[in-house]
Amino acid sequence: MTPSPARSFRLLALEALSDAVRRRIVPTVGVMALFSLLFVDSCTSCSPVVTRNGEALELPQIAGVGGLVGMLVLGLWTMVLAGVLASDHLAEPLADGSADLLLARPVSREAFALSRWAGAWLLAAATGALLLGTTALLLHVRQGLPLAPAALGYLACLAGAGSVAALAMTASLWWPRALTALVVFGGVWAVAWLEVARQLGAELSGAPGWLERFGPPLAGPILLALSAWIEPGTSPRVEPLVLGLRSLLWLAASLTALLLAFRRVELGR
Amino acid sequence: MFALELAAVSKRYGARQALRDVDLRLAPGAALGLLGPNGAGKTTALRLLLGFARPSAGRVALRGLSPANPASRRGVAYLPERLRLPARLSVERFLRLHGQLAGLEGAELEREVAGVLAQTGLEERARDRLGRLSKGLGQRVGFAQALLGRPELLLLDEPTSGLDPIGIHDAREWIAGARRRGCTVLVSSHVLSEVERTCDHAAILHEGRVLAQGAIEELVRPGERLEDAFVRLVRG
Repeated sequence: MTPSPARSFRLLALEALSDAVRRRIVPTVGVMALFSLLFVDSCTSCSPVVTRNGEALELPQIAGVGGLVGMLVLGLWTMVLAGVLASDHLAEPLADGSADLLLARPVSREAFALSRWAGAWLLAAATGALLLGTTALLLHVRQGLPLAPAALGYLACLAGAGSVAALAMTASLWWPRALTALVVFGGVWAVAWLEVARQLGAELSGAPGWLERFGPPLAGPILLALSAWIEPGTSPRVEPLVLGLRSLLWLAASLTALLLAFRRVELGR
Repeated sequence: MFALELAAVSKRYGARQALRDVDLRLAPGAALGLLGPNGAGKTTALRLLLGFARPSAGRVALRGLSPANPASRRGVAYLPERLRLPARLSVERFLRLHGQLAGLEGAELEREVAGVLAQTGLEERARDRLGRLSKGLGQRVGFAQALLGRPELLLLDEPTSGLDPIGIHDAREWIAGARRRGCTVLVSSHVLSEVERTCDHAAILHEGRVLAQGAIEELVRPGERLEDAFVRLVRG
């Protein structure tokens, strides 16, 4: 008797998640998350007086912009975490040979690769839920900002984290871990910076323009989801449907690239 | 249908030719010892059978199916030469995971896990983390996972590596037990006495080529032991 592919995947994904939770990076992530939340707690409990053109701004107006920036930064960190975790979550068991016993079972390579991706992604998703969820809740309770945009922002963050993790995992089949992690770190912030620049009205051309228009949408969907928090008249410059579709397409394409790459790799030479 | 088959298989890693035009077939229920010095291509042959690598030429089949098909590994168990166990898992949890991946569930899974723990003498170490086990105990865990679910085909790469004399004796018993219930066995080893005691057939690999294969009593000349036949064939 052989377990169904779905059951094999579930067993392997639980194992991969449990593996991810025990990684050495996790306590560091926990401490960083704690400091982030303490910072958010301190920021959301203050009542600054801000004036623009001599006119005092209402608290919700300031909170909206501040909340958006905070959520964006935390969302991008979640994506970086997904990529860094993925940068050796598949490569390491292949390199040290511990994957051999599992792949000698009637398990498809696709199920194995996807389970490792899911392990890294789920841990990043849980961290994102803690960071973005607590921030949104504090902004809702203390500043009256609605929760629905935050929920949409979290979903956008999940899609971005999924793409980043799959791309990092694919690259890790050839690149060393340090290089993959470095490219993840630089890549996420670079793409996000381009997207924010475009939202602020910058005209991008050449490679940066192409990357902003066709690359993986990371900051854009979060900004779009949270745009309801900022004052009217600052509507986003991108069509929501187009951005959402592009985000899902990048997720699907990244996962496909991972599966195709892993199918070609020869194990344990 | 053969339990496993390599037909005119060659495998090249860059400039290095690991296997050259290898033909190897194993009928169900037989036990084949794959003999050869280090670097002869024994592990490469096993990795091709498990789908870990693709042949540069020729055809590989496991239970009549392409190794790229996960169904080819149904009822197959493998013990690698360099066994790497996940350090943080307990012996029992590790065996349960492998049992589930082999298709065992519920009471049958519990019975099988308890059975292989008892068989391999690991009952009292069931809750120990794998990272804390000695090499020999780790090898026993490797055997325990391979024996789970009464596999139809055992692929064993240097199976007694790291075992003490008692462990080696036990390992031979486990292999013999599997054979008695009809399991097909492929043992890759450079320990000739290992193969002599556990297998009825042998294939001698040298520099990626099969020098000879057949029933052990056909490979040895009158008055010879397998070791003598091996040296004679390898030295030409």
